[in-house]
Amino acid sequence: MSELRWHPILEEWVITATHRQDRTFLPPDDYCPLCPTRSPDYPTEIPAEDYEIVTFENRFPSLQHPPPDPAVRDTELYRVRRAEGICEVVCYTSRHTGTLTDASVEEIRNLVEVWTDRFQELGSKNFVDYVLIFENKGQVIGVTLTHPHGQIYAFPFIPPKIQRELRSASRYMAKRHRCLFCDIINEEITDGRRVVVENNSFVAVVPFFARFPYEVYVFSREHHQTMLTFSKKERRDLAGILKAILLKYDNLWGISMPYMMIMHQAPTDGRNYDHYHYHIEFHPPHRTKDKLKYLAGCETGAGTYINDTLAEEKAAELRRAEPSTLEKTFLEL
Amino acid sequence: MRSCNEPSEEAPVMRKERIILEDGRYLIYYSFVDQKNNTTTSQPDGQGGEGQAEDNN
Repeated sequence: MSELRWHPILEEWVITATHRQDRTFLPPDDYCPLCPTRSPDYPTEIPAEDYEIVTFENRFPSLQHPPPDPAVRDTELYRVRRAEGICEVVCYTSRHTGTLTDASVEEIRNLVEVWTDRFQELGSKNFVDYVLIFENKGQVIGVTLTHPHGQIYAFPFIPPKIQRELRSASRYMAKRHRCLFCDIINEEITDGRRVVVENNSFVAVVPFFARFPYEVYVFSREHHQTMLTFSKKERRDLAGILKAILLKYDNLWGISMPYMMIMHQAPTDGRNYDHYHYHIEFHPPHRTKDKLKYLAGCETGAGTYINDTLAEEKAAELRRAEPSTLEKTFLEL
Repeated sequence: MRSCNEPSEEAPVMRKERIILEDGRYLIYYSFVDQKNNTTTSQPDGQGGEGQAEDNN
């Protein structure tokens, strides 16, 4: 069963997807459903014996096309919609072990090409208003399959966090006739203390307003709304800076850093979003090597985050983590 | 300490092959052809052909 239930207090949709309770949970390495099918005795999700990058519709989707009818009837107060959309799984590699950090810059560049293609194809569907590309990494995030992979949700609505960003950017543009995000980038570069790494096309910072200790935003220097307008060089540079950030995270404490990586792009509902600006957000839950930041009463109950650290200090730590210089040619390509 | 190698200058050509699984879901194989020597770095089983990116569906 799957449906959208309207939250009249917060004015946002909640997805119910009860079938997801039965999804595969941390299977043994020998029975990974995201590995290629190497034996007919154990067919996985992927029939081929090997692959480079694969994407497919999630067997346990939160959104479906065509969607099932809702299990409940709506009322004037409690609106219900069919959960129409698409949920894809993106397998980064056929290699079961490792993470995206272990991918070469070429492989990440290939992944950038796939992300761009998926955004274009899914965003062109008339029932899709927003395409969210993201990765949950690590069991503390709730990952149920360890094989390196990400996900894509093609929503029939614009998710609330994106709506807030769009409103902020629109108001800022109306008032100052400038892009909110471009001004944030300029202020971060001018200040410099929160910059983690940068190349010709992108800059990564622990933003002034960070809500997680090691939160990183990756902004395109040029004012793009989506990946679709990236040049070939920008796509290469995105791979380079992602590789650098992933290495820094893992080298910070010598552990494979869990994170949520979320790509924010303009909606695909056909409207004009010139005031919006492409960026990627990393939200690692660790506040130290051994301690996690939990979204507890204040964060979950009130929506206000408490960050126990200073963005300036955390950015300095990440800057020092290897690769600590910008001289390495892989960052410039 | 973890590190990485330098990538090549030329972007590979992306190929895209779509299949329909037994339960009706779609699956897409992406592969990348090196422009210099026109070789695929990895070829999924049963997915043939060479050349420019092409969506079969």
